[in-house]
Amino acid sequence: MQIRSKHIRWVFFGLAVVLALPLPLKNLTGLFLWVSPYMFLLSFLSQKSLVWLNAFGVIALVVTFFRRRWVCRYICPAGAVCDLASEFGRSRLRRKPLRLSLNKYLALFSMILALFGIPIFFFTDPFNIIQMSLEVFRTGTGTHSLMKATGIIVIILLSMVLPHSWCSGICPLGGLQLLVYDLRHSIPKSFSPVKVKPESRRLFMAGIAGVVAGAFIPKRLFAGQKKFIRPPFSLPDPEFNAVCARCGNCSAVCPTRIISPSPDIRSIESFLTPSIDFSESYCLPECKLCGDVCPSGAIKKFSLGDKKDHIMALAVIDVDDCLLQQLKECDLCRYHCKYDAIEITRNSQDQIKLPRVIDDKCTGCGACKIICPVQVIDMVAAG
Amino acid sequence: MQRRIFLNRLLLSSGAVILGSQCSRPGPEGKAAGQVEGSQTATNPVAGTIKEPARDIPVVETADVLVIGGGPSGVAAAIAASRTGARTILAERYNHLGGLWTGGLVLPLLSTHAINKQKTMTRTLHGIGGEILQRLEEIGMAIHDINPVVDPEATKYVLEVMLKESGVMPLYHCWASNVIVESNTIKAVLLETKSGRVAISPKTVIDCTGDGDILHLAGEDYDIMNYELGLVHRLGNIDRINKEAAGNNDLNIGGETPIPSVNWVNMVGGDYEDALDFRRLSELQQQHRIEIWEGVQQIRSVPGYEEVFLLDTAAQQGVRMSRILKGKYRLTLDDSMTFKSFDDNIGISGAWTSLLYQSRRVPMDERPLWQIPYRALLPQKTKNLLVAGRCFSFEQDLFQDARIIGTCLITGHGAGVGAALASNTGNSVQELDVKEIQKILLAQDAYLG
Repeated sequence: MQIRSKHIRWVFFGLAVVLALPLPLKNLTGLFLWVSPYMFLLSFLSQKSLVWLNAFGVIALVVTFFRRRWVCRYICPAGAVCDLASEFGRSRLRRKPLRLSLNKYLALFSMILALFGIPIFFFTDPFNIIQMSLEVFRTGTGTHSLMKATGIIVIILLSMVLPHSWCSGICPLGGLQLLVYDLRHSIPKSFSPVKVKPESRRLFMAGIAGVVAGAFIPKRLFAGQKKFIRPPFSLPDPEFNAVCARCGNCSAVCPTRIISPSPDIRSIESFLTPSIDFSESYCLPECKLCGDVCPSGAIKKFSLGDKKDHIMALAVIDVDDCLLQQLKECDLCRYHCKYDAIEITRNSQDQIKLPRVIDDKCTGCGACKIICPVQVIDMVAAG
Repeated sequence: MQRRIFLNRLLLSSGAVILGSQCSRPGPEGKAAGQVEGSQTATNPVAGTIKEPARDIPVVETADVLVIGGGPSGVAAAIAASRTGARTILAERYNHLGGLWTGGLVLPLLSTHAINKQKTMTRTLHGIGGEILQRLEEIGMAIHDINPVVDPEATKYVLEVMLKESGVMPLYHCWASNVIVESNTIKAVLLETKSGRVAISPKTVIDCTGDGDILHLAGEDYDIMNYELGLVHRLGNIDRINKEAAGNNDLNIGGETPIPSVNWVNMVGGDYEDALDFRRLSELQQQHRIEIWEGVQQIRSVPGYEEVFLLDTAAQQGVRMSRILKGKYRLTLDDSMTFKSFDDNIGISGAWTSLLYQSRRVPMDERPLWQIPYRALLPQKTKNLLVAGRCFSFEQDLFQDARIIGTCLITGHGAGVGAALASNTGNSVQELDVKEIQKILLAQDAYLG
């Protein structure tokens, strides 16, 4: 039985790798992350909304209620990696396992914090740790892919030095599963006075700590100095920095590859959050994949019909160097604007007609910026 | 202990209440915005209709090949047909050859070059178009190597001479108003002339009207694209601008032409207009003429620019797009970007502007040359009609290069040879041996890659 579950975990690990490869998987990109019940709960509690992909998380949660730490034993790819590292630490480095049990309290604390809109413990979800480390397949090696792999390196080292400490002692996904499993003991007893187990005092304290932290951590702590152009239907900025799991699903799925993680570590609050770079391509009007694959809800699921009403950025034309200023044949920005947001008009007594952005219609998709032969159009963050 | 349990449950239940009150779901999926097509309301009757009595029209000429329209494609087609041995007539509505290139004062001959498979910039304009350009260069009336700018009167002259040499009969001041089609064959083309309505009975017809008038009259299928249209003008005394007096007033006075004192001034940036609406064309004509005069007066009022004057406005309103044939094959943007090779290739054209391809910008100097298949000149059913010029069969995304003079010269050359071969062999244009067309084209110095 043990052997079989271990094998299944490695199968899932392989699946995670396949899903992380730069293949045109569309909605399947990052699907793995949706299986994590911890990810699901943090997203659900902070966003108070559900999408159909959450069904995976719900199912995992329900199974957990009946089978103790089911996700750990059968699915978790990080668990497979950590067990291997722990085994190595125990047999080769002769390290002794450490008895730690922070996991339940961490899970409760983080979920209550999420309820207040600050689901920052996304980072500690083992599925996300694996997902972030695998992003190197899509983005290539670089500083930010190294930064994203920090999580997996930390838990591997931790497992080698203190075997099993991560999985059984710290991992909040494990903690969540224990909490859910424990519910089956507490429910029938709740009708009669019960003896409170020693740990319920700690759980209570963790809950209170969550409430206190949620109430007193101000949102503006996440407000960065820099203004980013975010993927469409992203949450406004302080919330975005707090909610985004930095999982990289949106940049992986983007067909025109315009979404990339912010590499600037100096603005730590927005570090590795996705931002849009319009230098190579633009946001396709017929695409809604980033909203589909975002597991945290930082990018809301949207429909193509809504896209014309959502302002992602704003085009600004420097007409001084526009080709029309020299009466050269050009109409590319207007012709390629799918939202009819560019008109070419005479803006003064001057005879020359020049392009003008109609702010109400511009969604900031960047098509005009890309096509402009003299590169006089810039995209600026909205608001 | 009880108190703790109570507080725990309070915490959980209040959380549940918050959740329940804030649940939201995404709305239904919408549709992407589509492109608006031109409407044809110009001929809606406002006072009923009137019946024109049937009458007999004299057939005043017969011909092997009748070319309707004397623009770049029409001239190339007529010369090519005549050189291939067909008795050719060219009917033109104005008094000059060259169409928008000369009468429209659109002086740059664009899309003469593009990148070949070896990634080097290659000239694509050869054959009759190449010969026209060479003759203009010989008399010093074309400047720049890539996308040259010509003098309109010199071009009219060169085209006239070449037409005369090749033995084409030109008919000026003739407007093709109808075609008589019997069993998918054009029996006659009706022309409105100073002598009244006359008929010409050709073996083969080439539609070089730009607007696709003939393919429309013959009942072929087409799309209508609304786009910018404008009136071009020329300014004289450019060499007399006093730069010192002008100081910082650096006005935009258009582009240079082979004549140093003359500039040509493009009209860009109008709304997307229906170029097949006769009232709207007239409104715009009036508006543009006034706009140009007043604009030039503004220029003259600037110190240093006093001697600049309006040399002329174009004889033809500059219609960029109108009808696009839905032919046997619609050339696509993809074809033009991927060195797509066609068995029935009849010419290769170049590029003059950057374009959006696969959601990226491809600058002009990275764009590949593109082959034009004979099928893109072929209408669906009419057996003796070929289409050349800006109304041949292509996907709308390709219009920036398909509509341009360089491409018109190429499609004209191919259509001319095809039409001559059809009338010589008695085959329908759809049944021609394209290998034969290619052989003749190569003999006439066309570039087929």
